[in-house]
Amino acid sequence: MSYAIVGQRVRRVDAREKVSGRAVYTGDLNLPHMLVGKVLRSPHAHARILSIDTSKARSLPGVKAVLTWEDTPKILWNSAGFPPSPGAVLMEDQYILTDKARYVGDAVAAVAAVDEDTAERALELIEVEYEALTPAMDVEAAMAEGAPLIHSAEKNVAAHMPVVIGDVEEGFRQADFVFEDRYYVPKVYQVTMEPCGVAVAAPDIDGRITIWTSTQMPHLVRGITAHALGLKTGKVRIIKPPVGGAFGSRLGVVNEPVAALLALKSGYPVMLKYTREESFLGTESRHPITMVLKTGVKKDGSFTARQMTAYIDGGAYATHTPSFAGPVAGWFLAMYKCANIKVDNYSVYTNSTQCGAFRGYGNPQVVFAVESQVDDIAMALGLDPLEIRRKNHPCEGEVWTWSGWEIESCGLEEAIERGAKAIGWDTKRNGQAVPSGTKKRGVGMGYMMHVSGARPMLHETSAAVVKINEDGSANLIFSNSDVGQGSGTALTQVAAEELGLAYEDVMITKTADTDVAGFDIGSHASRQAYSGGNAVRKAAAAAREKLLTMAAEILQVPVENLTVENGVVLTREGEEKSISVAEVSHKAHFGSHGHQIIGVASEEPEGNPPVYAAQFAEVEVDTETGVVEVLKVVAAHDVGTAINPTLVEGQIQGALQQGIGYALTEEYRYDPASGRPLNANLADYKILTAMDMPEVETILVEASCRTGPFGAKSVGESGLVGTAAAIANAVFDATGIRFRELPITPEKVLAALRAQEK
Amino acid sequence: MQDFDYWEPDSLAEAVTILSALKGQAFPLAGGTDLLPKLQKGQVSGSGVVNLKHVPELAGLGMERTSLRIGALTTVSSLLANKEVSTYFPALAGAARALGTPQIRNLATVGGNLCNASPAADLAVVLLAYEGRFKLAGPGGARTLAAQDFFIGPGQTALTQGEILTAVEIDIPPLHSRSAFLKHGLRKSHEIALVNAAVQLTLESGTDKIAATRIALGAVAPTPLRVRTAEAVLVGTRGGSAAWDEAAEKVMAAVAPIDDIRSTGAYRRHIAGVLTRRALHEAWGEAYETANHA
Ligand SMILES: Cc1cc2nc3c(=O)[nH]c(=O)nc-3n(C[C@H](O)[C@H](O)[C@H](O)COP(=O)(O)OP(=O)(O)OC[C@H]3O[C@@H](n4cnc5c(N)ncnc54)[C@H](O)[C@@H]3O)c2cc1C
Repeated sequence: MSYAIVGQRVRRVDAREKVSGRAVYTGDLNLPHMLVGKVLRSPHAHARILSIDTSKARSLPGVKAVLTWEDTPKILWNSAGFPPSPGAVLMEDQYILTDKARYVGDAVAAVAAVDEDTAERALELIEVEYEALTPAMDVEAAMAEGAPLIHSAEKNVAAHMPVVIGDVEEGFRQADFVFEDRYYVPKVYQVTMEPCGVAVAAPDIDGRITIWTSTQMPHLVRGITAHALGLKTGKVRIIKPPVGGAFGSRLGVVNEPVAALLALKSGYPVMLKYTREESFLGTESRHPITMVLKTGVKKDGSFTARQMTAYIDGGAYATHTPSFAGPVAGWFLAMYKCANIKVDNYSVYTNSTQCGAFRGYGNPQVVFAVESQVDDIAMALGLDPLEIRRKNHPCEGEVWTWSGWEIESCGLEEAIERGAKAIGWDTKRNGQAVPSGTKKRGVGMGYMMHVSGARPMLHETSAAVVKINEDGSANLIFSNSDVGQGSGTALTQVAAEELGLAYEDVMITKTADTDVAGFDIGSHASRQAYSGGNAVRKAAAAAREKLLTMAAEILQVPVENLTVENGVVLTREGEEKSISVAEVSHKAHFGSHGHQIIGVASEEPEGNPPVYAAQFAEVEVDTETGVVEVLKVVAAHDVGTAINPTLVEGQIQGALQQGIGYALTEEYRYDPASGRPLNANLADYKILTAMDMPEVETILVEASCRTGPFGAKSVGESGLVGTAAAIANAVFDATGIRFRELPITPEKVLAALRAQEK
Repeated sequence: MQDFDYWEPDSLAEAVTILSALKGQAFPLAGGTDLLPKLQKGQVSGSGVVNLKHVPELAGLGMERTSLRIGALTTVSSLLANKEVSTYFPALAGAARALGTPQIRNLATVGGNLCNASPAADLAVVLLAYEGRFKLAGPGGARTLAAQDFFIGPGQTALTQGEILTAVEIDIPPLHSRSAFLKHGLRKSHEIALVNAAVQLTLESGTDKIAATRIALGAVAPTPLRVRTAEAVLVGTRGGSAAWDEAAEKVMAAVAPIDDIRSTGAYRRHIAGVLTRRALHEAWGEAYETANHA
C-alpha cells in the first residue's frame, strides 16, 4: 500500500529551529522577577537528619525562600508517570524534600534567590546535622540479614511478584538438558543532551501555577505535581517547550514539585535547572538487575520450561520499580513459546539514586540474559543460533503472552534472513573470519520483541483536535510530547494523509500545553506513532467527513463519490467536479452555516501490536589489550509501516549508540562502602562518541498491522534492546568466552583470555 | 564559582610582574580548558586570574634553524595544521590528534597542557621523548629546563613563583629517525589516556641497526616517565619482536601506576608493555624505510 505523505521522508517540523539554534528550551526562558532555585543534596548515602538550621541562609540578602522537609506538604507521592491503571503499582514513599537521606544527592533543602551565586551561597549557609547510617549499595547488601532498613519494607524488598504459567518443575523433568546461569547488568544513565531536571514554575494571582518543564508527559506530570503540592489537578498548568532528549529520564516528575513549592512560597517565578552532575546524582536511570535463568530444552531445541528469578535494584525510592517489575516479567514471558514459565521478581531498595525508565524499560536487561543463554543452548545442541530462534519465537496469529492478545503481524523471519545476509552470517562465523595478528573476529546476533504502547497494563488515552482553517490549512492540536524522536512530524504526516492536505499545510502544536490539548499519557512505551497516531487519524477522519459532507452539498453530488487529495475535493470518477478545501472551509466559516470544520477524537487504541528485530554484530577482539571493537552492526527491524523512514532509521541508529555503550563501556558506579558515586560526570561515565560508532546498516521490514495508523507499529525504544546480546554473542564467537556481565570491559576480557590460556 | 580579580597583561614583563606581585595567589590563564573546570568545582582557590592570551612573546609556531619553536600559546589545532610538525614530528601530530575533541583542541594550548602537569597529558609524554627544551621567564630572568626536569609530580612543575612557560623547543630528529605516539583509552575520542606512549628510533644509515632510541610513557607514574633502561636494551640491536619484548619488560618494571576509577594499576602496567611494543614496531617499520630506501 502506498500513500501520498505517509512513508515519505519529509523534513521534520522542528528541523529548522533546532539546527539554527532558534528553538527556545525551558532553560532558555526568562520571566520578569524570575528567581534561581537550587537544591541542597545529602553528602551521605544513608543518614538520619538530626537538625537543619536555615537561619543564616534566610538572612542572606537576595534569598527569597529556604525550604526543608518542615515546609513541604505532608503528602507522600510517587514520581513515576503512570495513569491509574491495573499495571501501575504506585508505592508512595517520597516527600518533596526528604526527612531522611537515602542516597548521595537526596534533596534535603532548597532555596530560591535573586541569582545563582546568591542561591549557591545560601546553600553553603544551611547547617545540617546528620547521623550517618550504614548504606546498602546493592541487592545482596540490602537483602542481607540485619541490613539497615532504607524505608520500612522488610529486608528492603519493596515488592515481590511471581508469575506462573503451567508447571516449571514438570517442564524441567521433561527436559533433555537444563541450563542455569546468572547474569548481571549495571546501572546506566540516559545522558540526554539537555541535562535532566529543568523547570520554571510561576504562580499567578488566581491561585494557579504554570510550570514550563522539559518532560515526556505533560498531563501525567500535572497530576503528580498537583498531588504532591496538595492542589487540585486543574490548578496546575504544564507547558512543554522543545525537549533536548529524554530516553525515559523524564518519564514522570523530575524536579517540578520542588520548583513549584519554591515559587509558591516565594511568590515569584523560579527557574530550577540541574547541572550535568546534579542530573547524574538526582534523577532516575536504568535498573541494575541480577537475573538467574533456568531453561529446560529438548534435544530438538524446543523449550520445556523457562524460569527467571530477578533481583531488581530500584535505588532509594520506589518510583517505577514495583510497576517496572511487570514488564520485566512480560518481556521474559513473551520472547519464546513454552508451556511452563515462571518469573520471580524482587524489587529491592538500595542507597543509590532511584531507578526509573530508560529506553526499553527492562527489555534490554532481559534480552541480554535470554539471548546470551539461548546462544549457549544452540551451541550445546549443535543448532544454528538463527534456527533455534525461528523455531521458538511466537509469530503472527499466535498468542502474545505479554498481552494475551493475538499477534497482528510479524516480520521477524524476514528480518533474520536479510540481517544474516547483510552481516555475512554463513561466511564469517565459527572462526571463518580471517584473524589479523593478535586480533580475533566473530559474529553474533540477538532477537527482540517490543511493544507499540502500554496496553493492557496502562490506560492509554490520547486526544487530538483537527481544525480546518478558512484558508484550507489545518491545525493539529495535540499534547505533543515529542522529545526529539520526531513524533510531532510523524503525527503531522498522519493527519495530512488522512485529511488529503499537503504536509506543509498541517501545523501541529509544537509546544504542549495542558490548558489547550486533550489528555494524553505522553511519550513512552514507544506509543506515540501507534496510540497517538490512531487518535490523530480519527480526529482527522472526523474533520474529513464533515469537509466532504459540506463539499457534497456545494457540488450537488453524493458524498460517497467524493475524495480529497492534495487540498482539493474531487469526484472519484474523474475530474469533472472539484472544489478546493480552502473554498469549502471558507464557505463553512462565512457562508450560511457559520461554523468551522473541526474533528475531535479521544480514545484508547484497540491493541498493542508487537514489533520485532534481529540485530547482528561483527566484532574484533584485541587479545593483547582486551579491547572489543564493534566493526559493523546490522539492525533489521519490523516496525510496521514506516511513517517516515528517515526518522525510523535515525531512531535505530541513535539507539544503537546507547546499546553499544551498554555492552562495552557504560556503567554508573558507586563506592560500595561510602555510597558515593564514582563517575557522575561525562569524563568518567563513558558514552560513545561519533568516532566510536561502527558501520551501521539498518534494514526496515514493514509488516503492517491492522490496528495501527496506516499500519504503523513502533520503533522508539527497540533499537538498543538486542544490541548488547548481539555483541556478547559475537565476542563469544570470536573468543569462545561467555560474558554474563555488562559492560564487557577490556580488563574483564583480558582477565578472561588469560584464564582461558591456562 | 568563587570571585576573583582579572588581569590582561600585554607583555611578558607585565605578566611576570603581576604574577610575582600576587605571590602565587593568581593563576595564569591560557585556553582555560583545565583551569576553568577546576575553578568552577572549587578544586583550586586563588584570588586572581591572569590572562596570557595577549602576551605576544608566548605566541608563534615555526622553525628556527634546526629546531621547532612552539610558543606556549600555540593551540593544539594549530599544531595539527602545521606542516613541519607533521613532517618531522609525527608523534607530536599524533598526540595532538588524540587530544580531547575538536572544540577542546581549538582552545587548549601547549603551555596549558604542560603546566597543568597531568601525568596523562598527551603532549607532555611526546615532548619528553623529543627532549624538548622548556623556556621559562620569571622575576629572576629567563632560564631553560630539560623536559624531564620540568615535571615534578601530579600538578607540580619546576615553575617558581611568578614564572611563566614561554615556549618549548625541539630539534629536528637525526636522519633515519622515526617517532610514534600511541594512546590507550576506552573510547576513540574525548578520552584521557589510561596509558600513552611516545617513542623515537634512529637507525644507522643503510642498515637496520638501532643507533639511538627514546621511550616515554604517561599515566603510569606521578610524572610522564622516560624509561632509559628500556632504551638501553635496544641500542645496537636490529629490533624485531624479541627486542621489543625485552624493552616492554623493562618498561613494565619501571612504571608505578595507580588504581583509580579509570583503570587498575595492573592493567595500566600491562598496557604500558603493549603500547611500548606496538609503538616501537610502528616506528621501526617507518625508520627502516627511510634508512634503506631514501
Ligand atoms: C573535555 C576535555 C577533554 C580533554 N582531553 C584531553 C586529552 O585528551 N589529553 C590531554 O592531554 N588533555 C586533555 N584535556 C585537558 C586540557 O584540555 C589540556 O591539558 C590543555 O592542553 C590545557 O591547555 P589550556 O590552554 O586550556 O590550559 P589552561 O586551563 O589555561 O591552563 C592549565 C594550567 O596551566 C597553567 N598555565 C597555562 N599556561 C601557562 C604558561 N604559559 N605558563 C605557566 N602556567 C601556565 C594555568 O595556570 C593552569 O594551571 C581535556 C580537557 C577537557 C575539558
